[in-house]
Amino acid sequence: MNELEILQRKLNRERLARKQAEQILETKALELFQANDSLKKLNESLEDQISQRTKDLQESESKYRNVIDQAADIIYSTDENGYFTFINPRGSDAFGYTVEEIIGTRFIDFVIDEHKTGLYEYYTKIKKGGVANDYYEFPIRSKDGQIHWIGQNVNRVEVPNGDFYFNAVARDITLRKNTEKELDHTRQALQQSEVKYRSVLENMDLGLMEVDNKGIIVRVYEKFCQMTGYSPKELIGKDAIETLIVKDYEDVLRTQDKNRLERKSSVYEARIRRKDGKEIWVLISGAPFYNTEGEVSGSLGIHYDISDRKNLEANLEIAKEKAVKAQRAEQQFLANMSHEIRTPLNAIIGMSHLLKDSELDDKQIEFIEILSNSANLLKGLVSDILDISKIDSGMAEMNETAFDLSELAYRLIKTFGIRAEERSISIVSNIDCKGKSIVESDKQWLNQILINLLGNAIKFTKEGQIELTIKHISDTKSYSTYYFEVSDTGIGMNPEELKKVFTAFKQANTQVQREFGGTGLGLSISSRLVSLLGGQLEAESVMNEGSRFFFSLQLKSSSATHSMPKRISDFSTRIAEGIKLLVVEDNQMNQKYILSLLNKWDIDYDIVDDGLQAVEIYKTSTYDLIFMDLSMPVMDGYEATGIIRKLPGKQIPIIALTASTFLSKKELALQSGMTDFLAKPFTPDDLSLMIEKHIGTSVAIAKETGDTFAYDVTLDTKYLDEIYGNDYVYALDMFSIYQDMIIDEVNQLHTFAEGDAYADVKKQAHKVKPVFSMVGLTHLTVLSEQIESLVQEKKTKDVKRMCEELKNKVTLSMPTIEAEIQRLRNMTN
Amino acid sequence: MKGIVFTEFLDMVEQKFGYEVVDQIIEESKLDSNGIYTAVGTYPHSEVVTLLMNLSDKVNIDPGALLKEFGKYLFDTFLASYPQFFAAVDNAFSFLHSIDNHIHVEVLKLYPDATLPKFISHETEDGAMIMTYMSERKMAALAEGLIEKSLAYYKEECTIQTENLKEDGSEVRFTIKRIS
Ligand code: HEM
Repeated sequence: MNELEILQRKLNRERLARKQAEQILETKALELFQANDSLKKLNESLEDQISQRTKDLQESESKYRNVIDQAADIIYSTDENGYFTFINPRGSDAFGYTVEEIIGTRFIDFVIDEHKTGLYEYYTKIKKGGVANDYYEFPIRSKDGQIHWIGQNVNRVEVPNGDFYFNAVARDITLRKNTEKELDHTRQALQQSEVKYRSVLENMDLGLMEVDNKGIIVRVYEKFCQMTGYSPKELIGKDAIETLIVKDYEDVLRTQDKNRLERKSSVYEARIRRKDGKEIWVLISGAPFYNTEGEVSGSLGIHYDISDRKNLEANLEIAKEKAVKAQRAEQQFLANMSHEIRTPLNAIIGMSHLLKDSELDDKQIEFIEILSNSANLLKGLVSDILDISKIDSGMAEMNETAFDLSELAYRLIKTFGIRAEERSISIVSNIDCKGKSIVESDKQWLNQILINLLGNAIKFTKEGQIELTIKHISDTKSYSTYYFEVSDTGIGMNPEELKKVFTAFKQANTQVQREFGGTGLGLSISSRLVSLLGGQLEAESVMNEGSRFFFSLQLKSSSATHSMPKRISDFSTRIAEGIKLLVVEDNQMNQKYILSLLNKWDIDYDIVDDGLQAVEIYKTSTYDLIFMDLSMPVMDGYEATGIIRKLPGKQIPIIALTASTFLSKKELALQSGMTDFLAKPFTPDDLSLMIEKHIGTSVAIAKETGDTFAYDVTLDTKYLDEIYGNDYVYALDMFSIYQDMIIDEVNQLHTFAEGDAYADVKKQAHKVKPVFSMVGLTHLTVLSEQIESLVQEKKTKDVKRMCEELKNKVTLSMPTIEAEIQRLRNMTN
Repeated sequence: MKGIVFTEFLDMVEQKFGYEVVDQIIEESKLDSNGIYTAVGTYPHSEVVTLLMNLSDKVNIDPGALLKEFGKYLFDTFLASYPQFFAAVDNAFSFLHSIDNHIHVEVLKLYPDATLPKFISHETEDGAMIMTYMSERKMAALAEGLIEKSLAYYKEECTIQTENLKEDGSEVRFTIKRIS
């Protein structure tokens, strides 16, 4: 029973499943039928479309035929032998024959005779080679005898059986041909003129060459070949730069080539290597040239051989160098000579003074007077020559300090007042600085200029008056302009003389020289110095009425205006309390010198031997100013300054100290962060001024009174007086130190030179250089300086000789130094 | 799920346990289709799951084991109906690679509404075949049965190691190594 039920259910399920399946299959079958149906429909519509297309095609064919008939182009067909089978109306128009007349005739019959063979060959080629499509141009003669140019596109059409015929579309191009012909004429004319133009250039010794955009030579002209020694064959097709240009100039040429591509032309110089290896200089004018499309297609170079000129230039350069060398030697000689002459002259003058003091008769007194006057004159002459040669050789270096113009004028008037009184002429000053009399400039130079002008005025004025004018004219932010004038009521000059007045060695006339004396160099020195200061000395004069010398200068207005001390005072107070300096200096003598001055002025200081110590002590102490030597052992001044400048704290002034007179050293010093520069040897005044300039505190010097001491005349007494003043204890100290050390130092120098250790020679020479000045042996300072610069110029032989000489001179001078020490000791005791 | 899966499943149940069991599980399952299936139809996947679970209850055999057994059964059906797939290759690994690359692709062309698993297979350097089964229908056991029979068909002796990559069984890795 149960089993039966189950079986029934199974049967039922299977029946239902079958129905389900049938239903599913029926749906699928329906879908299939529908799909089939729509496929059929698609097929039908395709058939429709095809018949429509065919109809369209037929229509368009007739349309095309219309087009062919009405076409602006000539359309025709010929069989394989060139007999016309079809031609459109435009074609028959062009030929001037009717369509009927044309069909059946041969195509070639219409072509004018000269072109028949060409055309025949052309068609044969197309026939044989099987070229399917090609373009060709040829002239035909129409029925009325006119010539028409035809440009035709011909199509070789194959028929299935292997035969073929030609279809052609052609156009009447007579108009274009004619214009082309005209163009050709003009082009030819152009080319002819170009050839003419080029041959002109060729005749002018100019070598022409053309390169393409890649720098390959495409054309050369006769002259260029002559210039380079190559034949045209050897050049054409070669890389121009590789073949012709000397290596160093390749880059120049390449840049030039680039210029051409940018349509730029230019002129430049280069070196060419000829075929025979000889190198020549050429001036090249390069210009791009263009093709008919207006594009740069290469460049044309016009070459001019300038070797001769170049050689001349080189020779000139050598000649110039020689001249400069000769001039320098002359100046050196002059400088040396002047010095050598000055020393014995000092002796003569000194001796004649001594002689004067002894018992003499009138005659002898007169002789001595003459002797001493001549000696003085000679001395003046020598120092003037020295000045001029210094200025001319550029050795004169401007030394700017702050000073008071009115004080300068005051001193001048006072000095010249005495001389003027003797000659019963008056000297007046007219100073108007509008409260701005403190300026920064080279005081020494300005002083010398005015001394010369005033001296000159007095010399040529017998009566009347001399006037010194200094006027403040105008101001800019940091500069003021001043006007200077010295006028007299003297003999004056005629225009002729006036013209030559500033030329060296050209005194008005020999007559004048005899009558008035003098070297005549004063004015030319003044004129040069004024130029060095940035002005121009001018003169005006009226014969027998007087002369006027004047100039204007733009001078730096001093910042230290209010604190400028009156240097002229005979006594003073010191107001340098509370400031502290750091002195960095490795040279014993210099140390001593600076310290004694600072002690004298009661200025607090620390002193160290090298840059490293300076940096260390700077970190622990506070200073108002640093004096820093440049070349020192362990760490030099530049480096120390660099480090100090990077440390935190106030940027205090750092003043470089050096014996070098080279401007470059100064620049280096300023670059490393230094504030100013003090050249060794310096005077006490220089030092105090420097302190005042940068701290603004006055360091007035107490002028000491007492016995005066006359240094040995062979020494630079003027300088010694300047640096030591009345402080003989101090002078004794310095002389003693010198005596103790100098022999060792100079021997050291000599040893270095003998051992070819030139770097050491230079250092050592630099070190001893200022020391000699401290005992008045200024000429040995000069000698040391020469050694330094000879090392620089690598003239080792001269260096050795000079070191030898220095050693000898030092040895020779030792007795004098010893005597001076003895005398100074006696005096100070 | 294609009807063939249902009809073959029920055929297997009938063969192994008798039509009485087929009748019972259909009756107990309360299915939308009332248990009426044709090979050309398509039915919800959940119905095969329900049938399987009820069968498992009834005969007290783990559903996984049943499904694997079904796989073995199904293999013979496939072999009979689609001999061309088996003739195309000459070894088991190539055949297994061809499921995803070829067989199931063809299946899908025939039945665009078929829901097929994804297999990613490759061979390691030491010659083992790694086959990863991926399907939301979680029927890896069915695959295992099919694989076992395939290996036997090509007369290859192999070990099959299975590893669940996802806990729910939607990603399973088979590692098949030849014994030699
Ligand atoms: C000639 C050989 C084969 C054919 C014709 C075939 C065809 C099919 C068909 C029609 C389905 C049902 C799809 C649906 O219900 O929507 C299916 C599912 C399946 N096939 Fe195959 N198959 C073959 C071989 C294999 C083999 C060798 C494996 C073993 C790895 C396999 C693994 C599976 C699995 C696991 C499913 C279940 C669906 C799923 O898990 O998502 N098949 N196959």
